[in-house]
Amino acid sequence: MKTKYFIIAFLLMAFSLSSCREITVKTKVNSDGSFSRIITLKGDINDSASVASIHGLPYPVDESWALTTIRDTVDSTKLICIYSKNFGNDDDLQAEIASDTSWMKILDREITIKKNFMFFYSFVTYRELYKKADPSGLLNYKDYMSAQDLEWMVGNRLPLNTKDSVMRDSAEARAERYILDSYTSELITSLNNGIKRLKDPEIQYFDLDAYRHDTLIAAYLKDSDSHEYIIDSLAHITGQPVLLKLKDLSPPVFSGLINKIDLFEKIMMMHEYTSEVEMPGLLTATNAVNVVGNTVSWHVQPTSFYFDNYEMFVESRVVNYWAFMLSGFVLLLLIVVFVVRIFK
Amino acid sequence: MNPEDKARERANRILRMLKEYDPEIKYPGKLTDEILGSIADVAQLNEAGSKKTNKMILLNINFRRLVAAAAILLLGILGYEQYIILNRINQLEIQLEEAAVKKGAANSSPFTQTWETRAIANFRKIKDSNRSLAEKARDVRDMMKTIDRNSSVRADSYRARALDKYNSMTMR
Repeated sequence: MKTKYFIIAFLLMAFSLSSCREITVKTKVNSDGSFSRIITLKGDINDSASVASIHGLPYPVDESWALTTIRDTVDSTKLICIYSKNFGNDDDLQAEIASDTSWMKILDREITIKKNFMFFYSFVTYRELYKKADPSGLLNYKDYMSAQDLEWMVGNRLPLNTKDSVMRDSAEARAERYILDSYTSELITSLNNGIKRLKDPEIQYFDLDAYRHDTLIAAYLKDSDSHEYIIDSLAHITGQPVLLKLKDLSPPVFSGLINKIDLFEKIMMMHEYTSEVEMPGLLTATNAVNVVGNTVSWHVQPTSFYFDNYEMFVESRVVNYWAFMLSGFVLLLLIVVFVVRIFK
Repeated sequence: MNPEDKARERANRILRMLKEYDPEIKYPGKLTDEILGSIADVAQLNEAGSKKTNKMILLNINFRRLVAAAAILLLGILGYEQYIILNRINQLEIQLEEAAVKKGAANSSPFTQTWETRAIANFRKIKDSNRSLAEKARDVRDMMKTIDRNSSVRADSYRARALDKYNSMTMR
C-alpha cells in the first residue's frame, strides 16, 4: 500500500518543496474591471525547454498567450519566460480555466473581479477561491488540527525562532496524523463496502473497524502497490479466510480508494507558485500578508487549500473623477446663484 | 321728466365735471420716467417672447433651493464615502501591522504614500503621546504624594523628637 509513500511524499513535497523553476502569476487589474495576466517562469538557462514548458502551470496557457523570453539580468544562469494575456472580464478567464485539460480541472477554483459603484469612489475587488481539495471526506481536520496549526500549514506564518519551528513541527505532525487516519478510514470503508458486496452470511456482520490498527500496520508495512497483501494480512490477522474473496470482486474493492490516492498524489506534487495581484487606486482591504504598494501576494502551495477553502482577496478604491467635476459644478452654480441674488 | 331722463341727465353732469377736473401731479418727471421704463420693459418682453432670461432662472426661488439641496446632498455623500474608506484603511493598517509582527517585519508597513494613512498615523502618534503624557503626569502625581507623605512623616518624627527633648529638659 502507498500509505507510507503518502507520508514521504507529503513531507518531501509539501513542507520542503524545492523546484527547478519559480512560477509567479501576476494579475494587473484595471479600474474598469478588465485585467491582464502575466505568468513568469524562472529557471536554469541550460534547461530552457522545461522552463518554458506550459506543463505543470497552475493555469492553462494556450497559443493565445504571448510568450517573451529574456535572460535574467541579475543572475545570468537563469532564464525568464513570460506568458501574458489581456482579459476583458473575469468570465473570460473562468471560461479558460474551465477548458483546462490537465488534472487541475478537478480543483474547484473561482476567480471574480467586480467593480462596486458608490458615487465619488468605486470599489474594485479581486477574489480567488480554491475550494477544499482533500479527496477524503470521512474525517474532519478540525478534530486533529487547531486554527493556529492551519495557519502554519497554509503558509500564513513563518518560523522565526526555535519556538516557532517547534510549533510548526507539531502542526505538521498533527497534519500527518490527520492524513494517515483519513486514508486508513478510507481503506477500512472500502473493505467494509467489499464485505457487504460479498453478501457472505459468515462475515456479513464482521466489524473490520476493530482491526483498524492492524489494517494500518498491514498497509504501512507494504510499500508496493499490491493491495492483495493487505487482504492476505487481514485474513490472517482476523482468522477469516473468507476475506480472501475480496480479491475477486469486480469492480475491484480498492478502485475508489486508488482514485483518491492518485488525486492526493497529484495535489501534493503540484507546483507551488506566487500569486500577485496589482490593484488600481488605493488598497482598502486584503487577506494577504505581503503587501508592497498596490501589489499584494500569496504563496500558494498544496497545503494551502488541502485542508480547507483557501481565499485570496483584495479590494481597492478608485476615484470617479466625473463625480467630483459634477459636484464642483453644482457648488459653483450655488455660489453664482447667491452672488446674483445679492447683486440683483 | 321720466326717471330714465333724470338718470341720463345726472350721468352727463358727472361726465362734464370729470372733463373739467384737472389732476395735480406732485413729481411729473418721475412719472414720465416710470412710464418710459415700463414702455422699455414691455418692448423687451415682446422681443424675448415668453422665454425667461438666465437671470430670472438664477433668481427663481425653486431653482435656488434645488441647487442648495443638491450641493448639501453631494457633500453628505462625499463625507460618508470618505468615512467608509478611512475606516477600511484603518482596519487594513491594523491587520497588516499584526501580520508584519507575525512575519517578523514590524517596520515594513507599506502604507506611507497617502494623506489618509499619514493622517491616521499622525492621529495615532498624538493619541499615543497623549497617553504617555497622561501616564507621566500620573507618575509625577504619585511621586508628589509619596514625597508629601514622607515629608509629613518626617515632620511628625521631628516634632516628636523636639517634644521629647523639651520634656526631658523641663523635667530636669
